[in-house]
Amino acid sequence: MAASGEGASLPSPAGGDDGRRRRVSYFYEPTIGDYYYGQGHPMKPHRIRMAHSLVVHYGLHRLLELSRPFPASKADIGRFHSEDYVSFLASATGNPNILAPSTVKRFNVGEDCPVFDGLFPFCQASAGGSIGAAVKLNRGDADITVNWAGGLHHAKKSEASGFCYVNDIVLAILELLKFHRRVLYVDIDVHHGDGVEEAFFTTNRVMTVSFHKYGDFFPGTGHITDIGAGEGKHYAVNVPLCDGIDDATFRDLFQCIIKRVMEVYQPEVVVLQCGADSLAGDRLGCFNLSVKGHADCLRFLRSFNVPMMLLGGGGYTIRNVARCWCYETAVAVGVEPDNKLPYNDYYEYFGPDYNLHIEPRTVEDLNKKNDLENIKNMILEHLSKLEHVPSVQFHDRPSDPEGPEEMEEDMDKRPAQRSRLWSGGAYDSDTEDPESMKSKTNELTAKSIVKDESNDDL
Amino acid sequence: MESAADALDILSKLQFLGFCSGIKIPDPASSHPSEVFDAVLAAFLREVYPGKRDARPLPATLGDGRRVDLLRLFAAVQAGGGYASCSAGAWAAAAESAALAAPMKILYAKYLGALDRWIQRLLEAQPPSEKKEEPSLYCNGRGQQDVVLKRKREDMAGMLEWVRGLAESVSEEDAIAAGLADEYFPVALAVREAVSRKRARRASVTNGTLLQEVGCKCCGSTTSAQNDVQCTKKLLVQHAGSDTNKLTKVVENMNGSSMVIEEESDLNGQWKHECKKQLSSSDGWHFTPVGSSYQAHVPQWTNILPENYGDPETLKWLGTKLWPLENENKIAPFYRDPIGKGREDICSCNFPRSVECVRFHIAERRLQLRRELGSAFYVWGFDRMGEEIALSWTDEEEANFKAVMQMYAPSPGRNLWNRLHLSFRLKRKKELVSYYFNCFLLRRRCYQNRITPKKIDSDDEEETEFRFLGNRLGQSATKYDSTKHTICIQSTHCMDLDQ
Repeated sequence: MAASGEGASLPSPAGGDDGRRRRVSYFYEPTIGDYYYGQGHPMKPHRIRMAHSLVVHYGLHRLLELSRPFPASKADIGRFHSEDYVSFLASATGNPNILAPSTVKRFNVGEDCPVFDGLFPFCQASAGGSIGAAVKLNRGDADITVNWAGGLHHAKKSEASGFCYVNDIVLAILELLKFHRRVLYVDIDVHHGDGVEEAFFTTNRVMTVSFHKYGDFFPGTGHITDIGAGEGKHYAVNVPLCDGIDDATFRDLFQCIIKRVMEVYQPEVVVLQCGADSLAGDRLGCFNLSVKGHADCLRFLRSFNVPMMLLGGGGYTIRNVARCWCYETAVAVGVEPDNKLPYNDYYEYFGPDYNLHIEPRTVEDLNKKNDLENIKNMILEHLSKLEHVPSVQFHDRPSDPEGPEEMEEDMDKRPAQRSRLWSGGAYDSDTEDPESMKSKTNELTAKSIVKDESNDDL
Repeated sequence: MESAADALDILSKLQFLGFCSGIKIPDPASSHPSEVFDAVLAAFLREVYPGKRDARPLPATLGDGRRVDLLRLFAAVQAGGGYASCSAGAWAAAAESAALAAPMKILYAKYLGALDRWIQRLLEAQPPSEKKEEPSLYCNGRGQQDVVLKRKREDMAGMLEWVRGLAESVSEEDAIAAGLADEYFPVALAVREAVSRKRARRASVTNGTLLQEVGCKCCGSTTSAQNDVQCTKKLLVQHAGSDTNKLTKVVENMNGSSMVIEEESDLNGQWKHECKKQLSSSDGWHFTPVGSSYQAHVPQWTNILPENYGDPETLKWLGTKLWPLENENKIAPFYRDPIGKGREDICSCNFPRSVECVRFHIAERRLQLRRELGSAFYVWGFDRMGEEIALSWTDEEEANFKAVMQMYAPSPGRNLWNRLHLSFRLKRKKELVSYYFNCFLLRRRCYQNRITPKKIDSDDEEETEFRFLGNRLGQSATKYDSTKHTICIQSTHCMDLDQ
């Protein structure tokens, strides 16, 4: 099935087909590393600065367009968040003593989500970067956009949660929805992407797919039977996993499910939350992925040639977070960097091996083969209930301001991109077999006649 | 005057929290209330501190042999708002009512501290407004305690049985009626509410749920149930695709969550982690609320793309372009390494991979980068990265920082930054934090990499950050001046890596 992404290495950047290059736009706020959640708090914005340092020392910036984000205003943040919550965030200062207990309770700030110095500017930078990344994609200025300061997927409409205050992902997706009918959100953070799922729980214009640890683990949501509601029914996919999942197992599951999702949903743009707490040895996480295994998710999604946004997220062993996001930036631009880290300002953080890649640990994978098979089948079953390409028909694309390239109604073509520059070659040439895709889509169209209601017993 | 009923009330609360389930207590009719309380307390302490047997000998006695009436003391302090919020005046009153002198506060903390915390937690979980429902959950009849106690537990078990039965066969009205007759329904609702208190963000119901269904059937029969149903409607949302099994699940989760609450976790070290964990587990059953208070507003797709997408309001999001540089002379490619190139491990330094060697290469790299990036080097903050930061610090300040870290970092009070701020009045907090991440941690990691390379893999950042603080060697290892040190460090380093 999932044929591509098996190899861990990209085609050589130098000798490779330049048509595979993506125009990558990267948002970085230079002061982001100075924000500080407080003593002993595992969330450290410093990791974003470390990642940036690695990116530049590897020379990857030469393949990037690099921008400093415009800070999102209260009104911008208010496009998703409730007014009182935004007002609270904007007025909150670093002195926790002046917070009324009722406020603390109401907005769920306090221990996990402390009100630290510069909280609001931090949120503004994070959200501004993600919205900027969305605008870039909307304008067709870039094929992949990156904001490692984003990805704060737990934040709710009127409440902070799990170290997240402003849900930059929701804001970015709302921006993308102005130009794209269907947005796919994929979340590989070890925690469930509850904030994003909740925000788009009842719409079919956004499909959320989250791979996460489930069971006695924050935030407690993300059961496999949570599939969305109303119009959004079957447009939320949850893949609950146990401790210790390794590269191979994760890759199989990820590719199998995502391939199917891409087939049936045909998103026009993909948002990937690259939470790095799913890496081996994370301070809060419990998965066993290597940096390569983590980045394989990106590599696989990238091979579909759909515009993409890469966001950060969790990640609490900061040296590994920096490694991971640096490597994923490299994958985005199509470079395979050397394993030996270049000398850089944070070099000592990466000792004693000073390598880019990390070894998975020798821990038991608690995911039973049988269970995984069941999960996979159940989700594929869910996906087969998807109305094939929801609400808006596949072929009635609006006319593109810059002139559409493709208006064919051929099912084996990806949705026409807005004047993309890339040649359209998939990462692995045998990823997509037009013939097999055609037959699958036909089959699906037939299946979509099945009424949703009859499948409530899932 | 405290009665045995008070002791039993405390017991019922503890049982609600999952403690003291199989306790045998002295007959309340014939025993002194304080004896009953002591028995309850002993059972509770055994469960809270497993393994530490008889850490608190009961009954508690003072040095002069006088017995302490813990029940009275507890009741008095509870009346004052619990240990944490009890004022000095309230302590005095408590002392008086318990006929105790000086060591009362210590005594309280030792014997009753854990009990106090759990009871407070329960009170916080169920604010006074909800207390009205408590009678249906807890024992309610004063004067017939043993009956009440038993019934309370039977009530729960019976109620669970009823709900389970119901879940298996929805249509059986007999079962519902039987449950209503036994007043299980309000109990079920109260339990449900207690369990899902925190995350129970209200939502409108989009689909029929079993409880609602039960509720509707109940509406005609009891008015109290009707009220409860309205409240449950908001609390309980079940999405499409759910079925009757979920109610069973609710029940299972009720059991589960009370079990989890039992674990008294030591939050000192990794409190965030624990917080996250506790949040998830004590909530039990989760659901995604539906309604305009939760979902983002997603407009229908109209096929009309926004006009004026090139207006300043939109373009502002593109931010400030920092790279590629536009108005600067192109840098000669001579200075540039190929993209993606890592480090050369072979160098002509006297002691390759030693502290000096690494520092030299980092400095070299920075110079190269500055040439390539031009103004972007400063805009991206590379001048404020790494040990460069230390240039604006005097040796004395650095030593002072180290000393404060050493002293206060491991302390549980988490007032490290206040201390640092006091010691460095002229430095802003931002500077202190920056020094911490860019220099302090870096230097300590530098030490760890060479002296204890196998220990850094603990991946416990907290530990990594604070464990080796006191070690002077770690600090001096990063200085150039001692050649002796460097050699020693270098050889250790190689040894460790080569093994």
